[in-house]
Amino acid sequence: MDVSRVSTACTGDRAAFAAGPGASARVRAVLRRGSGPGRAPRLFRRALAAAGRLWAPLLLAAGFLLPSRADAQLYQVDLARENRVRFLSDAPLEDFEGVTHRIDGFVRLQGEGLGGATDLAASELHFEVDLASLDTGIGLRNRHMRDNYLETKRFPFAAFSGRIETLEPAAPGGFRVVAVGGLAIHGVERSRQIECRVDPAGTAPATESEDLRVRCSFPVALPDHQISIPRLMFMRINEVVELDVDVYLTLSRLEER
Amino acid sequence: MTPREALSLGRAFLLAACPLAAAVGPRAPVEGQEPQPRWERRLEASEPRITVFHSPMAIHLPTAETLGRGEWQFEISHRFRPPLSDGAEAFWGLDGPVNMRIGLGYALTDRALLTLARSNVRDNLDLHLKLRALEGRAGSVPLMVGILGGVAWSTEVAGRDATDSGNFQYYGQLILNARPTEGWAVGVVPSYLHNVLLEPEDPEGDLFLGLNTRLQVTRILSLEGEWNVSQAREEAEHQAGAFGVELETGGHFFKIFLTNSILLNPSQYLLGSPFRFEAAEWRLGFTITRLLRF
Repeated sequence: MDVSRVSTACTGDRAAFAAGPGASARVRAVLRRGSGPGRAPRLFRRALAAAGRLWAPLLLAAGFLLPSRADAQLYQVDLARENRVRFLSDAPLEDFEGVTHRIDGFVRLQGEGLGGATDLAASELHFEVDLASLDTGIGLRNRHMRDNYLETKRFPFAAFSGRIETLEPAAPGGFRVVAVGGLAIHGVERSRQIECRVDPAGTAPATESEDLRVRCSFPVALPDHQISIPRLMFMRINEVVELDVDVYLTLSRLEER
Repeated sequence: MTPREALSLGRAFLLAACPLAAAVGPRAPVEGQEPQPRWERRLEASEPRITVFHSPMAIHLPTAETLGRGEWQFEISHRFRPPLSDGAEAFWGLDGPVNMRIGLGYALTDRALLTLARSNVRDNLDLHLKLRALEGRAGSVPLMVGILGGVAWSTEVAGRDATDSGNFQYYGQLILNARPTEGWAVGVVPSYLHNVLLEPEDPEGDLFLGLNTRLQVTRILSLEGEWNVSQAREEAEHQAGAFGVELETGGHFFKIFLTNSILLNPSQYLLGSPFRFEAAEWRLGFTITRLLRF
């Protein structure tokens, strides 16, 4: 651990510490509000000054013991935005798509967050989609799909739960993310790796933005989720549908250990 | 190996096996569908509106079901005039001739369906508006009520100009639908028709009572039946009935049935049939509807 950083932390100026590269304005604001815990290190420093030559090893020990920064960032789906989940079924005679805006979920990053040191193994994410709200443009087809294929009374949500496996910067100002976890549709869960692109929702780069736009695209094989499509005359539905997720996240909470 | 070592080895094995088990194959269906702990669900599952019959029409009779605003329904229907009992010689009726109807419906709102249809029987042009008035539940039984009003114009009546006021008929229907069990729906459709028979100079109005039912057999296949109670009249001594199957694909309904009626438009089939409802008089008929959005 860098001794100069530890000493900064022990002056009580924790905001300065956290406001290094990668911390957003919100991070700074939240940490600045935390003035209560800041007083203790100031007294501590006076005690240390009196301790003369022992200051360096004592500071090191203190650095390990004191909370020095936000340890997790919780991003939640921004329900006020135009989030969209869309599937596309591409069949010889009839293409159709279904769209819903009813998606919710969160991503929790452990560590400094985007652009900083982040413990991906400890990251968490969960997203879920209200399947009964899927609209294919034809009301009776929606009902047919709900009742006969997705069985939304029994399985109202499709969900993806897991963690982030890789997080790499990608131009311009965004990230390429690979998430791993279980994709549950129709009550059947499958292990999946899903690649997404994360971009800032505003003009600031993603590392400084509290609002992120996440876009993912991946195929779903319906038989993998025990969704069987009857072959009826010339009406065939492709067994593999393409799923597009376009969702906005907003930093909703900073958590400290 | 001490017991403690064995225990920790066993624990390590279990820890290693859990993610392995999770990664292999589909799990049994999860009924609970609970989100992860430490996170509160904000969007609950939406509750779709009640449905009773799936299709906006039974065989001849209407159901209270409508389409979503802006959706179109294209329909083509045939009634083969020779009876099935004519056998191979008439290709079981498929040789024709046929009575037919082409229709186009448009949903003005989620509750209002406007349909324009033409039948080649007396060149009858039919325009009707159906409203899905209300739906709800009586106990656990889903109910739906619709009202329908229409005007029919027969442009081919012997001895009259096409535009003669006697060629117009008006009708109204009250549509009462219920679904006593998950896959079984019933309908009662009292109807009033003005100018029942086109020919008389003094138009006569009369009441009719339609009854229909649908039993879902598989996800796409249902059985359908209907009956229309009418007074016996010349050329329409018998009441009209029909039974058959309905296939639903999501974007289409295919209905194939047997009936003693060869009339298709509402102001015509209500009247009844010259044929008895018995096997020797059954005719083949079909209706195909396609749901569209442009």
